Amino acid sequence: MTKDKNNLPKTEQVDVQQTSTPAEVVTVGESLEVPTLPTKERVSRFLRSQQGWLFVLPALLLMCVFTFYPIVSAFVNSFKQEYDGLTDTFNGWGVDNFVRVLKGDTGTGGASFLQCLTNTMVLTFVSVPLSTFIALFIAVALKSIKPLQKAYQTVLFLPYLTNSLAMGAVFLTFFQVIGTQRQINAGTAQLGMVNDLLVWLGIEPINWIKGIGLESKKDLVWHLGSVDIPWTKYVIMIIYEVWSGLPFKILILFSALQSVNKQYYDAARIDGASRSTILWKITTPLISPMISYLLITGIMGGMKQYSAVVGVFGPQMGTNYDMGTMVGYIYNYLELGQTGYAYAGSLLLFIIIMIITLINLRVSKKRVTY
Amino acid sequence: MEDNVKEISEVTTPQSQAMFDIEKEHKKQKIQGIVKNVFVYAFLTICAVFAFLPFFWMFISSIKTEMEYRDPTGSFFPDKAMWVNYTAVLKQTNNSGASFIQILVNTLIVGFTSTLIGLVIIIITAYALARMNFKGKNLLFSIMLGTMMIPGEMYTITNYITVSPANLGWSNSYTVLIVPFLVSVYYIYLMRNNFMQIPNSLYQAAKVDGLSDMGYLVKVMIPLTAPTLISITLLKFIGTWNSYIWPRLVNLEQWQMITNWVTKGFTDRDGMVYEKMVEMFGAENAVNYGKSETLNTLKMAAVCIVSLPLFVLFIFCRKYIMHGVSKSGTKG
Amino acid sequence: MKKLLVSITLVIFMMASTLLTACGGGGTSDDSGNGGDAAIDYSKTIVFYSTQGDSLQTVTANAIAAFEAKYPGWKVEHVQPGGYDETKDKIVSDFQAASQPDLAYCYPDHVAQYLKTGKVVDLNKFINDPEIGFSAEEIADFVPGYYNEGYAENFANYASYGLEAKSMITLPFVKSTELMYVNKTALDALGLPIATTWDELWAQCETIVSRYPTATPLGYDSEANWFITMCKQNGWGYTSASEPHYLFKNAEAQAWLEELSAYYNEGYITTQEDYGAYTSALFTKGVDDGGLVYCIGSSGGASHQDPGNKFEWAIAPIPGSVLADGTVDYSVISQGPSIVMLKDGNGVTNSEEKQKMTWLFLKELMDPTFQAAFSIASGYNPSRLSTFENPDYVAHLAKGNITAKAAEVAKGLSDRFYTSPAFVGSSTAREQVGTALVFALTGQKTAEQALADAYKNCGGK
Repeated sequence: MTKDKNNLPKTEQVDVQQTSTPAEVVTVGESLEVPTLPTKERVSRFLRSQQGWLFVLPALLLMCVFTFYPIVSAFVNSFKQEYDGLTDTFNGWGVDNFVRVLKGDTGTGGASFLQCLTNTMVLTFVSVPLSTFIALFIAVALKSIKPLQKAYQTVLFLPYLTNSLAMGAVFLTFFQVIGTQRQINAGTAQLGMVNDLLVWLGIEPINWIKGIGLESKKDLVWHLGSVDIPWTKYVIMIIYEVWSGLPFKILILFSALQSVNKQYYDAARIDGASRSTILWKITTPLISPMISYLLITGIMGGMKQYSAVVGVFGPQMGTNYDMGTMVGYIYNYLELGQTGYAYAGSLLLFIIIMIITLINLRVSKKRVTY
Repeated sequence: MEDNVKEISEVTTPQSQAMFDIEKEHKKQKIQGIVKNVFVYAFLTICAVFAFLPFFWMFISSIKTEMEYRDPTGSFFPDKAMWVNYTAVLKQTNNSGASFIQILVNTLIVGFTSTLIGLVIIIITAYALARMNFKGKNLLFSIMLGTMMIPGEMYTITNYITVSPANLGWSNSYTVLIVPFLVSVYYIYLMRNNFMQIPNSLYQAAKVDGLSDMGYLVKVMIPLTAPTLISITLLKFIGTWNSYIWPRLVNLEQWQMITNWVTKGFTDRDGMVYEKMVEMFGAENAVNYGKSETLNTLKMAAVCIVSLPLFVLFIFCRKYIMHGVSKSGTKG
Repeated sequence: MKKLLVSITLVIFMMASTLLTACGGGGTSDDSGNGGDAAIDYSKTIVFYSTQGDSLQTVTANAIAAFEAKYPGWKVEHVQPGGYDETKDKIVSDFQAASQPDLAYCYPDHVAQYLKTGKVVDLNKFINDPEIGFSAEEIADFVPGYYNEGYAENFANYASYGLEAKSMITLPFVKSTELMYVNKTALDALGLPIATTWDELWAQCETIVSRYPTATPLGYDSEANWFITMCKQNGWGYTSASEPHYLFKNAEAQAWLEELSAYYNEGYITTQEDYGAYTSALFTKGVDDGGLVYCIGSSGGASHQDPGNKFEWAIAPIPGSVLADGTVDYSVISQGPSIVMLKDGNGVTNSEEKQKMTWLFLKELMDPTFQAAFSIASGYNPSRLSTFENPDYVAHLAKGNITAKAAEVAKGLSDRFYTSPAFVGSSTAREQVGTALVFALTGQKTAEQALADAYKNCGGK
């Protein structure tokens, strides 16, 4: 597009050019040095309209090799019954792997699917919404102050900068009880920071790892049939996950808050709206796309968590994988060489995540305002 | 106070009365403001302490002596600082020649390369998905989103087979650490959403100005979404920094990453920690843990060392994020 | 269109150039002589996985240097994937990618899994070789209890893998056993002798706690070892190589667990899981500071048990169990890495020459002089008896410190060693009985329930 001396765009017969076929431009009698073939023009126009494919080509190629192929391979292998990864042998095609996984009948020493599923669901559906909404409060609070805003922001982002293996061990020490029976009774055992806080508040200290009350010796693990709910260990994980999940969410929500038009707030204030009204009726709906994104991806990520739990509880994820997550389940069977069960488990996990995400998307369609 | 107001109002005109009411309102708002600020600062301070506490504990542990660390009556502030822990950690070179410097270089190279190339791929893919129309676009996007729901651990073994000497033969190189993870559907999704939020009117205006599609991408869309892009850059780099499972699987130690380095146990190999302990606390109080026992204080020092560059990076990038946000005035 | 093509080309070029530089450049050149070239010629490189920490790697590096000097052109790549479990996990992954190592640290349980792949080498082929094998004296020089662990007959279903009963699957590298570290000062003050049977020990407990109320009489570091050793000493079932594999869910074991639980409630016992850290840390505290009187732990970990000047220590074998006929069974577990040889890894298949060179390196690791250096550095016991005549090792033992004494006592126990059968699932059994013991001790589950759950978790049939 060219511009004339007044910087106004010169009009050109652009539209005409695009709609006319070159064939009509050829006049009889002129020698054609370079004949413009209709096919070539059509092909090039088609290619131009499909340019998008070129843009996605690098990503697509990489994904074909490193994402799609493994998925297909895993999918196929999950139907090989009694598949032994070490020897690459199997015993016919069928859904036996899935049946065994769901029934918990996978043979030697593997994790229990139901236990891992329960753990993963509880941890995800408690820590993700919790950290998202705490992040919302923090982001709003941050936005509303001027002095020291940057300082608080920096400190609040710190948890993101560490890796889960190292930090997990640190968190564990806050909850760890070290001492023999006698020492505990005598009060000379090391109770860990959290228990010290409980004692100071007058609450009975707990052996968080074992799930026993330290004074009453009560078993604090809930047993529901074949599934155990070691809620004391859940507390450790939830606190850790909220701690490490906050920074990213605060960053995203804070950025989202920054881009909300101030006029909304001014209008609301003139109308005399209270702070909580502003927060719930104006701010939240305005940044609801971001909240929804955080919840959806947070839950997806939570269902796939692994290294955080390993960081806190070690590679065995508690005793007998009682803190095992779904991905821990997959790894456990990969390590045992029983890749059939591992892939069946991952396929089941995928289906579960898909169902949850679809429900999530449905809900957010209704409540999210763009 | 109210008596005064009443007295005055008896002798004043309606306008003045309104003014005093406004003054009262201002005072009330000021008090409300102060109260609100107190609550907000208290809340933020508690959150900040909660966020900071594990780091503080980690840092304090890294300068304790190992005996202090293992002492049940844990102390918050060690008597004297054992900075020698840091020296001991940095100097440890294992016998395959993988020193701290080597590992650091590996991580930096892999980090920068994969972040840079990954960013390009994210931008062009998100652009295509957001603004271009081509056959099968929605199907492709749905499939990509679908892969987000699949645990990455499922790919590990198959990818390991793919890169092993029997197939691609990429083991023990930087390629194997970079290439399989270049595509990040998570961030493509984020950028696509960001791009879609840029109003079409801008595109029309740019077209009128004679800007090509690529020009629009580079000159308009990228600057507008710069804060998100910088956040993504930071997060991708941090992700590479923290990776350990894959490097451990495919590479020998010379080509491993910094988180692999941290998870190895550190010992008092050269005896310098014990020497310092004797020097500072006297031989009766110093315990010689020998050459082969892994010391927790050293591990804490290693973690601190590893976290520091990320922290510096964040401080550096944060300025740009804030700067970028205040510059983007196209909203509304 | 042109700009687009240019941009795409640029991206692809960037990717390609990174790939090329990364492929060719590899790591920056380092000091070890592996150079900047990423390509490893696996046909001339022996890959060895171990769990050795830094200081032990230094010792092994000497053996590697000597080997590489002796056989120019051949290299040894010494890799440490982590602990024993991580090493096994890596090898399992490696088998699927056909990149398994040539030599690896292993436990019998691990090898039970590897046998299925058909890539485990029967070492008899080399042991019996007249030129490069072991002579009869050399074979006799191995501690019999250790050497016999490696026979195929210890592994379930060995015949189905084409092996004979005396095929050699693993060679013992260095070994450890369990010893009882004793607070001699405390016992002397009470006028008590060191307990030699469990009954004696339990009888002493009451006296101990009445005099030292904060102390715990007994700390046993490894719960699994305790359970398994008791089963062996008393002849209760634990596991078996043939089906049914899991025999530990029996009335005697249950009764013993109940007995233990009663002692635990009296405050006589602690274990690593119960305490929350290594029991050795507790032992070194001394009886006035909540410590232990008896601490049963690995002979390889003797240096951790050194209390310094706090009290006088002694080392004794673990107590035995008095059997029905009045005899005492003193069986004690034998642990520590063995080395297994695998073939066809990393694309080098059917290479007789490579297997031969791998064997030669393995021989270096079995050499008494090397074993002496390694045992001195690690605190483990050598598997070659002639190591005890090595002058350096003799000097080391003469020091009389706790590591030397531990090695000496451990050596004397060689006729008490036992091993458990190795089959797919034997490592799970070990984990499960360990946790069962903890649950029964703390009372979170009844002994019966704990054993039943353990049995179920093993997939017991």
